[in-house]
Amino acid sequence: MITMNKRTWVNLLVGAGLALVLALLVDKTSDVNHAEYGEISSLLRQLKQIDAEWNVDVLRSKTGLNASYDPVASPLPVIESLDDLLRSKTNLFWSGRGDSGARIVPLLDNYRQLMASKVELIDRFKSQHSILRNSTRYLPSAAAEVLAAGPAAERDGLIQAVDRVLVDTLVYTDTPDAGLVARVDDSIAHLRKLAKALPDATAERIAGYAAHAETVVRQQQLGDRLLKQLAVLPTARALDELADMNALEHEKLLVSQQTWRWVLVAYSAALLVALGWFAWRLVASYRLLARVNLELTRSHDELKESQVHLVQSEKMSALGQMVAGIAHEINTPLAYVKGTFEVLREQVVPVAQLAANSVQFAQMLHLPNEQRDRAQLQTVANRFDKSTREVSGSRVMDEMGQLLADGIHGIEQISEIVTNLKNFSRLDRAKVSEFAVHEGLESTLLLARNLLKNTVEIRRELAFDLPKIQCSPSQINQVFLNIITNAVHAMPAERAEPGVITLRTAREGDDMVRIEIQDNGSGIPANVLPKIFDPFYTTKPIGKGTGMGLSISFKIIQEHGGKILVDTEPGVGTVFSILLPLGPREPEKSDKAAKADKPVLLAA
Amino acid sequence: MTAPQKARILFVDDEERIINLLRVMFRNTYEVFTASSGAQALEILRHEPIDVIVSDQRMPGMTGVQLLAKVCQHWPHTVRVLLTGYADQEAILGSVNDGQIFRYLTKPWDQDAIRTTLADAAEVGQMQSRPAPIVTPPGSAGRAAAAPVAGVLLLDDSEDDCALVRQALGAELTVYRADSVAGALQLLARHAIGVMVCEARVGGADTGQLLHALKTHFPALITVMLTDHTDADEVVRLINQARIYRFASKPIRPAVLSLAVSAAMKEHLRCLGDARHVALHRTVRVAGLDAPVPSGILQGLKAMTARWRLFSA
Repeated sequence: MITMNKRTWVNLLVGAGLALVLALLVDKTSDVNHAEYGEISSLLRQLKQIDAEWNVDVLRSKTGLNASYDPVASPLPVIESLDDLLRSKTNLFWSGRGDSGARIVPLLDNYRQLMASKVELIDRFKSQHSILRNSTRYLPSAAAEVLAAGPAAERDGLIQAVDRVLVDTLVYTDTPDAGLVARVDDSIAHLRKLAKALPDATAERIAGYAAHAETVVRQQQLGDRLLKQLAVLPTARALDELADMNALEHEKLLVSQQTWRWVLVAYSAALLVALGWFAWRLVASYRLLARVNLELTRSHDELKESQVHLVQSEKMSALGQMVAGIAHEINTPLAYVKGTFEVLREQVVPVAQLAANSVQFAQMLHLPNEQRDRAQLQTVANRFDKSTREVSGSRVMDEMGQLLADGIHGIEQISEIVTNLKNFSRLDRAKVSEFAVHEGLESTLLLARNLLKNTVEIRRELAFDLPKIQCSPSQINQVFLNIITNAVHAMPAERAEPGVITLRTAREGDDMVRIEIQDNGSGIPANVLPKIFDPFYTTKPIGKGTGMGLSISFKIIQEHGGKILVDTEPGVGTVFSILLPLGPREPEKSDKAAKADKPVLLAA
Repeated sequence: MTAPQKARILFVDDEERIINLLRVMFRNTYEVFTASSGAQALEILRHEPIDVIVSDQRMPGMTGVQLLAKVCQHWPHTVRVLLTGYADQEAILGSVNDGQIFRYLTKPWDQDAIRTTLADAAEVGQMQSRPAPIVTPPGSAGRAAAAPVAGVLLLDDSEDDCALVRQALGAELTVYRADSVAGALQLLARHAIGVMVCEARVGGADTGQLLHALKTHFPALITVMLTDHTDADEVVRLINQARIYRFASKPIRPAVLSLAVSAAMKEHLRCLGDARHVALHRTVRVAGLDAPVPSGILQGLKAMTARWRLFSA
């Protein structure tokens, strides 16, 4: 049972494992949401476009092509929202995809950082540019103020210097070349030198003007630097990288998905094959079951058949035991009858010799005197005398009588045994005939004498007026022999108490007789008792009993319409009681009756 | 008739007529005692020196084998013969192993056979009780040390049995093994063998003939036979013709076999030292059996004879 459980557990675990692997594989190959991926791609594309347009807008703002800063500021919220969307979509799509996410997220972060820098730079550019534009717009009017305030004496030189500063500065703002900065500085220095010689009010105006021009140059320089920084800010490249990585990972994803799909196919195929194998096994075992069933049915039939044979062979075995017993029974008288006759044959020789010698002696005596040869007569007389002494001296004649009597006794014994054999089998009588129970018991005892001799004492407590019964004598005798044999075998070989078998007969009611066979043997143990009438049940060693004896006895008594009862006490002995009707009675055929007719077993 | 005194024979049988008959038959040749039970027989033995005891097997109180076992124990010089019509395998083996019987006779008997057998037994029995001539070869005590220790010959064609026998004996005795009669003869010629452990059939051939020939020529070679379910008549023939000393039933039980072989080895040494004792191992004379002994066995015997002389002379 334990092994069974263990096996079931193992089977369950294996099943669960297989299912788990299948679920894992299905998950690995679950379809990628291509729309999501497409959205990410398009987001990236949009961002890139917006970024490019933005760059253009910035340039346009710088060159003044754009009248306002709105185009520069307007992409900001769009970029921000797209950026958020991208981030959430990316996280959604790539999260849980292992290394892919780890490779993409840094790129996204990088882009976002760059974009943040760009926004900041553009902000700074915006403010710089507005300062520049305001300064630049104000510069001509500042120049006019300087000229208006300047003394007329110096007017030409001043105009020339102020114009030069104005022109140089405007040229620089128009084409911001590094070389032009020196010229502007030069012009401003020249103007400041002129201012020293001029009245304070004028000089002050000139200083403001110069500072203004310098601010323009500085802002212009700052703007240039910012633009340069903007230009080197690789947002577009970051976006490209991001897009490339996305594409690459997507490709990888597809490839790996394809691989897993193959694995899934292979796994499913293997499972199918296994399933097929199990199905085949099932079919095979069903086929085996059918075949075994067929064989069982056949051997059951054979068994039934062989049971019939066994019943027959039990009869033969009982017969064999009986024959062996009888052979031994006959053997002893036969031994001394044979010996006796052989001795007699030897003994006859001197007697015959005596007879011959006496005849010769008598002939001599009867001869007339003249014909008698004295010497010859003497020889014959001596011979006769010697024979006589030999025969009488060896008590041959006494012994012969005794030996002959013994021999005849032996022959009588043998013929008695033969008579009993005939009585026992009753083959010379009709199958059902008058049967004197006591005669049957006696002839059975004689047959079992070999078994009983020297070991068991027989006691008889027989009813005087037991009527004869109508039965099959040989069968009833078989039952007697069987029970008596069992009784003898139940006597332990070594014990102080001598074995006793008591035979008891009595009338039972009006139409039955009761025969009891009681032994003082070892009794029948309680666990054995219910089985004693079962066919093939035996407690004897293999080869000693077929286990059919009592089973057949039970059947015989049942067929006679009688009953067989057992009363036993271990260590004390057993009584088998047989109840037989006086006349033949139809054995009850119905199943109910047969069940009710089971042997009655009593254990004391 | 050569004996100055008649041999004394005790017949035991519960059948009065058998006893009478035997008395009549042998009264003139021997001094006959009779008993109708084992107990009675023991009583007689206690008071009379008996040369031969002839007992039936099935008797009330005590079986023949039980009686002969007692006799073997207390009066080992009395030669024991079982005369019975009851051939139960267990009893037959018991008669050899426990009773060490000289002969097993069956009822009804053959007149000539019983006479020869009893004559044989009487001669051997009288020899046992005779006190005088001990035929120990001079200087045998010194020789015993020099002579090679006798080994055991195992004649068996089953490897399993062989392993078991070796396991049972290997430690103390030299075991030679042959799986055929020819091989056995070679080994017997080459080595000093005291005890032979042998199967009833080896390589499909009956060993009875070999054993009879060997025992007839070399009574001091003691045989232990391994048996399973041998035919009872076959066992009786082996007892009488091959004088099997012990039967060890199969499957082999090492302890039992070891005991049997060491007893046999003791018996062998006793035979070497006491010529009277050898007579107990006399085989029955089988008319016409000497002739068809295969030439192989005869040659082997010749070679053995030479070796044996060397060994025991």
